[in-house]
Amino acid sequence: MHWSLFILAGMGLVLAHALKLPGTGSRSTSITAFLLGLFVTAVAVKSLAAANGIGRTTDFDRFVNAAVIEATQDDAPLVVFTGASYSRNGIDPERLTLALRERGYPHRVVNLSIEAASILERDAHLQQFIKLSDRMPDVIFVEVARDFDARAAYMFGNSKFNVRAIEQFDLANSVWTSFGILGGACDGAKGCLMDSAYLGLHATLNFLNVGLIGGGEPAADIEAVPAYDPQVEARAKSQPDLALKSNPVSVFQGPQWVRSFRYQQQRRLAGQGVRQVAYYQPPTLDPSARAYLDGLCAGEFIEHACISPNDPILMEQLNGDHWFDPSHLLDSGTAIYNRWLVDEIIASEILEPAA
Amino acid sequence: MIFTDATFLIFLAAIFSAYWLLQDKEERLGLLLAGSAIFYGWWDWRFLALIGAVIGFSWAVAKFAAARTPGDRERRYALIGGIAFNLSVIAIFKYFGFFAESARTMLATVGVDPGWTALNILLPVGISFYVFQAISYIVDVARGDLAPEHRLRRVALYIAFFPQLVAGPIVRASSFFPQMEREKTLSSALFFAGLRAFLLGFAYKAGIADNLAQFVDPVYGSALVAGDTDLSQWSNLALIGSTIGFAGLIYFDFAGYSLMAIGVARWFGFYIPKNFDYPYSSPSIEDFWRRWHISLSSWLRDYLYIPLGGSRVGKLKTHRNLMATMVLGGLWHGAAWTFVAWGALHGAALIFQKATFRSDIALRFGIGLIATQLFVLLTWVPFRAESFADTMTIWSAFAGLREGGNAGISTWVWMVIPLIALDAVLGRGGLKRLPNIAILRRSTVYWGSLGVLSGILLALYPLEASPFVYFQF
Repeated sequence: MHWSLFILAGMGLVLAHALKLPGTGSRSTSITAFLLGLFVTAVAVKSLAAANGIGRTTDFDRFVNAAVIEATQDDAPLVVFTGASYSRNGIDPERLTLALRERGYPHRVVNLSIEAASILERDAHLQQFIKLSDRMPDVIFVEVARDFDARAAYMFGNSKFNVRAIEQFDLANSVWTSFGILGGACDGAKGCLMDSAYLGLHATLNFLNVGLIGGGEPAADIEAVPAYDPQVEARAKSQPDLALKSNPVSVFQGPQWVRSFRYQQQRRLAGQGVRQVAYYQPPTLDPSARAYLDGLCAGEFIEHACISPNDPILMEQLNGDHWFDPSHLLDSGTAIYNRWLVDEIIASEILEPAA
Repeated sequence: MIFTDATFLIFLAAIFSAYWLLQDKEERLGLLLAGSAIFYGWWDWRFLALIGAVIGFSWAVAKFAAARTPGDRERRYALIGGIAFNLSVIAIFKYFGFFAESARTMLATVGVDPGWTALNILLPVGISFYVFQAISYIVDVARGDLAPEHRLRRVALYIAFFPQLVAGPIVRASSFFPQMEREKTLSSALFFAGLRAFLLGFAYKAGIADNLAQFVDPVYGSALVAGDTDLSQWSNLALIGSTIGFAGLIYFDFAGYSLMAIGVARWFGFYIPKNFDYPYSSPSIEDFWRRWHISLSSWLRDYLYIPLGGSRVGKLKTHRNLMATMVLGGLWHGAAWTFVAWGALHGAALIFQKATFRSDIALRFGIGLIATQLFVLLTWVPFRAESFADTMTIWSAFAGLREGGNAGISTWVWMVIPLIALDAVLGRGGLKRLPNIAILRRSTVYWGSLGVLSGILLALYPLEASPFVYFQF
């Protein structure tokens, strides 16, 4: 809730009462006047919202606020994991922080992940986290998953016309997504057409600020909710020995659009003062999905720390009732994965131990 | 499908285009009837059978009654039967659980366990509205005030006309039937009259009412979930603020819906009279009821209060009639004793006012306005609260007789008062006093301002819209 809501409501009331019957005029002038009025208002409302830190409130904002509280507890160097549902279930920041500290690393781990979050949505909330916490992460781990690289508008496969879908397609993200769709990061010709149409609609709704003031809150007023979502009961039956299967790995680069995005993200974050950007993916039962990150680690991410879960030792430990479903871990699985992950992080020498 | 949904706007655009493309009056009315069936069936197609039964029975009864001479016993029986049928529909679907539970509680106090559990019957949306329209049709025909309509589809469209089907205004057959016969043309005056009402209603509902729910629901609990309130945690100021928020919410929500209904009906060439006339500017309770939910107040007056004898039967009986009308009016709003209490309080205030009120003094000093609005505000408490215990807690907060918890709500809720005042000033002719207001009629200024208004309403539109409050009635 913000004062601007009542100012706008008052202005709306005045105009709604005042507008009666228009005089005669040319059609083109009327249309131009309408569009101009709409455009000017959209820009003015957007500026007002930006100046007051108002955005459409989503669960991601709640997670960011919890992460900010976590990150500002002390001056410990920050390790931020940002991902989608794989990470929301698979990265327990408390467990990781504790394990790192036991091993002599003073870092604090923060989880910034939400279901179906595209790399663009994650990047926007990462920036929001940096701004609100006023702290620069030491290392940022960016989750990489085949599904998200292969479909630029991944969100539309999950949901449409809701707060999150509209909020994320601002001008910059719409341009990147268009770039992806034009590069073929969509499902066939029909899928590309549908994604383009949805993108156009969502970008328009975003530009016109639909729900921005009504559903929006200043960041400081948003409730803080931790992102990590431990699961204790499986929703799908465990598939025996699937974890032990593996696919052959080839060396490759991600699709052009996502490669370009990642490149500019690395440069931007380095420019902001982030010491390292690394890549990872929590384990899934699908061997081809695990092999995808393996390929990227050896290709596109060759100059970066890259932690692929395609490790037979890890997968053997996870072979059993540790799966919420074939793509997500139960809390017991997360405990196993996080122990392994700490070993891998330390082995990668990406973190600097306490002096 | 609610008026502020994108689905409704698509549905409306389709029906509107098809309606004006058709040239034949009967085809147009047929389209409206089909559209109304789709609109109503969208909630739950099973409800169509119920509304169909109400329409069919009311049509047949009215026809039967009209065929008998006035004063004929069969005509009287038909009238009673028609009313009884319609009331039984409401009694079963809306009040059965309430009466069963009340009886069970009463028996339990004398140590009798009847052994039944209340049935959880799904409340068909808009039932209170369309049943009242059906009753008014039967009564008007049986009284000889209205000629019976022989064509079933005309009666069907009258009862099920989608703009006012689910939350009113309650339209009279004598006003609606002649409009069906009139030839209609789409003119810019008609279009812009509809647009004006719709936009103002949209501003009320999506711009204001939906945004006020965040002040009300956390304190009072969701209107749709029973037993989810815990008032002890809230400070007195939060309870008062939340009640003010609800006063704004219910007005902007219901008046907004009514205006949108009026606007949509206008687009099809139908005129529906206004349902609200700035009730929060009323200097007396009597005046409040002339301005609040006008179509229900006048229905209760014409079909309940006057048939009971109205005010021509002596002082005591007039008071009895007034109280009975208001109590039943309260019960109409919901199957709970808190609604009955709300109606009874308003009935008592009307009786008190009739006996003591000096309008000249009250108007001169503004005492009437303040006292009336404070009373209306306080009586919204039992209307919205889940129980009498909650009502007493909130009233105690108003009186400062309660310790109060620590939880608060945003102080922005107090902005509802200037918004309501601004709306009343603008609506009651305040704009006419502004110099150069005529400039808004210039085409470029009008369209530019419409663009600005659209931009504002889109920004205020909550993506998670609340259903209209009056749908539950």
